[in-house]
Order: sequence, then C-alpha cells, then structure tokens
Amino acid sequence: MDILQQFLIPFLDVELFLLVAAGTFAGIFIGAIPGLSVTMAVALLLPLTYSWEMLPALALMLGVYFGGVFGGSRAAILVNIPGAPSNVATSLDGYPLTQRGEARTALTLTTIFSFIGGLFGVIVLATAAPLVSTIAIQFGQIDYFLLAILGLLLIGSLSQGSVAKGIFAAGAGIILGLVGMDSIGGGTRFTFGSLQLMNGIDFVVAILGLFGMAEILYQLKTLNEKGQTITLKKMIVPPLRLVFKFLPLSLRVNVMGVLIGALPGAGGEIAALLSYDHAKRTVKKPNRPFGQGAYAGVIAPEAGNSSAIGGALIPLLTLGIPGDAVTAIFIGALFIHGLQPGPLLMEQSGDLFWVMVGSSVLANVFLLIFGLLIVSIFIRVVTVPKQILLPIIAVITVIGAYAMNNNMTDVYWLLGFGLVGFFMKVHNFSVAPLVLGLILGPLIDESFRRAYMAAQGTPEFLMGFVNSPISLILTLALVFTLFSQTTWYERFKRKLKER
Amino acid sequence: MKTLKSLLPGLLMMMISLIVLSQAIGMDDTSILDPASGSFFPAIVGLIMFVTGGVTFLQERRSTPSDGNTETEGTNDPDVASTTNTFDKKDYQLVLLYYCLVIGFVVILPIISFFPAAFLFLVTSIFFLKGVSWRINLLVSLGAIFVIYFLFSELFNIVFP
Repeated sequence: MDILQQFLIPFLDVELFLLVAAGTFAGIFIGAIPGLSVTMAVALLLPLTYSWEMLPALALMLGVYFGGVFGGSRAAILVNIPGAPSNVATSLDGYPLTQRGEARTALTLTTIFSFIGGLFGVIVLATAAPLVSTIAIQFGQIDYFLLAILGLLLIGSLSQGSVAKGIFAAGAGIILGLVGMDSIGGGTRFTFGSLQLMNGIDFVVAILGLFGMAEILYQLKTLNEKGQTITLKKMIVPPLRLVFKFLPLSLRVNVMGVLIGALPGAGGEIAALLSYDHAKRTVKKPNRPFGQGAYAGVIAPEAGNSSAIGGALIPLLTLGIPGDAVTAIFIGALFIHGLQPGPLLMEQSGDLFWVMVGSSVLANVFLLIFGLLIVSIFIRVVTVPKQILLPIIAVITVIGAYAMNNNMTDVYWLLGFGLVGFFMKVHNFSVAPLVLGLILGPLIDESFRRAYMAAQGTPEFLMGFVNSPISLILTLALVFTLFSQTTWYERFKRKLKER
Repeated sequence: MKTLKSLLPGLLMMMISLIVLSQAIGMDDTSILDPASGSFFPAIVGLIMFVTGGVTFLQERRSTPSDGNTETEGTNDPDVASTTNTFDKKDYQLVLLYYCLVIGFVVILPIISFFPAAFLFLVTSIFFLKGVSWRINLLVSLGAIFVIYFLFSELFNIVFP
C-alpha cells in the first residue's frame, strides 16, 4: 500500500505533475535540436538540486531525459539529422518516409512505440531491477567485446550498397574513434603530434557533420529541380492497425533495449542499432525494403532506445553504477542530497525509488500526449522551402558543434566530416557504418585488450568465450549472426522450406 | 577502358589503409604482434580496410563500361538512392561555393561575434540559393538568429565565440 502511495505522488502532487510535464515538453524540443543533447540539458538542471527539494528536481530531470531521447527522432525523421547517436538508426528509414510524404505516419508511429518502449523499461525497473542488475554486473570484458562485435556485424545491414565499402567505412570510423590518448597504455594514437587531437573526436560532432552538413551539401543539387517539394500524405493506414501489427516486434526489442541499457557504458545508441538489425532480420514482409521507408525500420530503434532508459536507471538505483552519461548526472544529484545510490538506496529511501518510477511513468504518458499533439507543428519543417531551411540548419549545426565543448576545433571537425560525408554519399559509401565504427571502436579496443590482459595467455583468453553462460550465449549469437550472412544459411533455409 | 575516376575510390581506400597501417606500426612503445598493445587492433582494422580497398578496386576494374553508372545502381540505401542522378560539374560548383560560404561563416564567427556573422551568413546564403524575396530573407534571418541565440545562449548558457 505504501508503495502505491509513493508511486502515485507524482500524479497527485500538482507541483511534481507540472514539473514532469514541463520537463518532457522541453526535452522533446531540446532533443530535436541537433547539437543540444539530453546530457547537456540534464547537466544544466543539476545546480537546481542545490536549492530545490530533491523530488521536484528529479521529476524535472526525468521528464527532460525521457522527452529528450524521444525528441532526437524528430530531426532524424524530418531532416535526416539525428538529434543524438541513439537516433542514427531511426534516420535510415525515417527520412525516406519523409521523402515519400509519410512523415506524419513516421512521427506518429515512433511516438506510440517510444511510449510503449519507455513504459516497458520502467515496468522492468519497478519489477525486476535486482534481477537485471545481477545479470548486468556479471558482464565481463569479454562479454562487452562480444556485444560490441555483434553490434559491428550490423555493417551488413547498414551498408546496402557495396559491403566492401561499408566495411571500409566502419574501419575508418573505428580508427577515428581511437584517435587521442590510449586509455590503457597511456600513449597517443593517430594524433599526428597534434595537441588538439589528444582528447579524441566527439562522435556527436561527427554525426552533425556526416548527417547534417553533408545532407545540406547533398540537398543543394535538388534545390532548383521541379517536383522535389515534399507533399505530405495523409495517414493512409490507420496507426492502430500498425500498432497491433508491430507490437510483438516492439516487445522483443524492448527486452533487448532494457538489457543493453542496463549495461554500464552501452546505452541507447547500441540498443537502437541492434534493434534496427533485429527488425531487419525478423520482419519477413516489410511494407517496403529496409532503407527505403520501412515502418519497422523506425519503430524498432525508437522502441529500443526508449526502453534502454529504464534499463539505464536499473544499475543506477540498485548498484550505484551509471548506465549512461545522463544517469551519471543523476548520481551527482543524489549525492548532493546526501543519498548513496546503490544496494542500500531501496532499503533506506524506498520512497525515492517509487517516486522516480511514478515520475518516469508520468513522463511517458506526457511523451505520448505531447508527441501526438505536436506532430503537426514538427511536420511544418518539411514544408519550409529548402532555400530557407538549409541555411538555418547550417547555422544550427555549426553552433551545435561549437556548443559540445565550447571550442572552435569541433566546428572545424564538423566542416571536415561534412565534406567527407558528402563525398561518401556521392560515391555510394553508406555513412551509417562509419558512425557505427566511431561508437563501437573504442569499446571493442578496450574490452578486447582488458580481457586479454586479464587472461593468462592466449588459450585462457580463447576459453573465455565459452566459460560463462553469458559469454557462451553471446558467442553462439555471434556465430549464428555470421552464419546467417552466408549463402549456406540461405541454402539451409530453402531446404527446410522444401521439406 | 577504365577511367581513373571509376578506379579512384578503390585506390583512395588502399592509400588511406596504408596510412592507418603505417601509423599503427609506428606507434611508440607498442608492438602490433602483442594483442594487449595499443597498436594491435588498429593494425588489424587497417589490414581489413586495405583488403576492402583492394576488393573495391577489382570490382570497379571488372565492371563493364555499360554498367559504369555505378553511382546508384544496385543500391537501395536512402542516403544514396534519394537522388538518382549523379553530380555534374554545375552541381559541384554550387556545392563548392556554398561550402565556401559556410567556411566564411566559421572564419568570421570568432572575429565579428555571433549576431553579425550569422546574420551575414543567413542573408547571403538565402540570397545565393535564390527564390526568396528580400523581405522574407531579412525577416527569416533575424527571426532565426534570435531563436538560436535564445536557445543556445540564454537557455543553455553557451558562450558564443
């Protein structure tokens, strides 16, 4: 009974109710603006916790968190600029949907499935947090390595032109991700003696350049061509029918999203990419091929990254370990108020846990309401003439890149990545594998080396792939994924059908 | 007869891979044969990149002149397939000029501060891209700058260059 009362506090307390609403609303717009990240927004709210009571500050921060992750998909769908790395996969089918005049359907579907995903994550947080955190804490370095390699196998899904070019782009992304100080050995890699490269390359800047600036340059060609204006179609298929159709897919990627979100260091971006890949492998008859505006291609990544939020809150509240950058700020907020996040938090301040769960549910409800209500506002972006839209996006991407670390070096990187992205598009290199490499490269490098160093020689390292249940499952998944990309698998499937 | 243009991507890929490989081999206090060192993984990646460069080069060499229009063929990537025509000289000129405008904006940004630099850039580029009246151009430029300034500076305390 106590639990229910605590859970309902955000719904019944007018101040908390309005703060969650305001946070979610602001978060949606912040997330939609390239360069303004959820982490930045939540970090800016941290000082509030000094002067505010704990619960109002947390309610506002949670609203911004859920709204911000969702908001990033708006820009990915409408203008092909992912608001955050976790929205990269959404742009692969979201933008083609906009180009086909189906932006309204894409925005509506992603809103509904983000709500379902977010709610699923919170339900798992409320009911199975200790179990999920037990699994997450058992993940060793070799498991992280296997997980990242599994993610890297998405290249096959993401590079729909030439696979060789896709692998090359992913390799280039990995190398770019390794630029700077070697966190294990202490030396420098690929810095060419430049001090400015010592801190490495921020992958958000790379995304702004490869997607934003490159898209601006690429769109110039279509500027004066007739018939290039996007006409908005009405939603032909009732969204409710699609919601029921894609619910099983959504639930599968939600489970994946929560588990990946719960892993420290593996957040919404990996969850979204793996969810996209899962959709591509399991949806037998998409409405159109993936990459050309498949509904499942926008639903899966958004459902995955939304459920990852609940997952990221699990290790924070049960173990005191942040699941991602935003939850690390939440730890700061709890510390400021003298609370110790970790196993004792639920025993000593169980009320706080349930108020956070209640605020998260409320944030998702507001996300659904605002998300659906403001579709018609967002959609107007598409109807703005490109002569006006492209220069404004250029200013936002430049200022957004500068805002990441308040320095002009990131802006120069933006310009460089913009040019590289443009030529990649012109010469049929998919941009997505490069971003995939940038995100996963450092994780693969570090986890591989740490796992190797922890093992007593190569034989023990190799045994590590099979000597724990998690490693074994991941190794088998890896082998299966590799096998499924060969012609033998196709022949095997055909034989099974013939029988 | 293969044109250099069609073989260029493969050649460029191999050259970039060789730079990566040479950097990996030349790293201080590391050995590419030691899996725990900082150069082992980059060397493997460099090697894989080199192989993919070689594969691309051979693929382009084998393709017949009739399927030389490889720019968009056989791909359903939205990034690629959104425009089915290739870029001609006129398109490249437009892209280059606009890119120079963006560079100009970035260069003058720290010199004359955000407001005048962004205003100049927006007015010039909207005029450059044609099709918008002067009145709308000025109104949109001013409106956009104020909204961007409010969002980044007032709301997020970002100090503009």
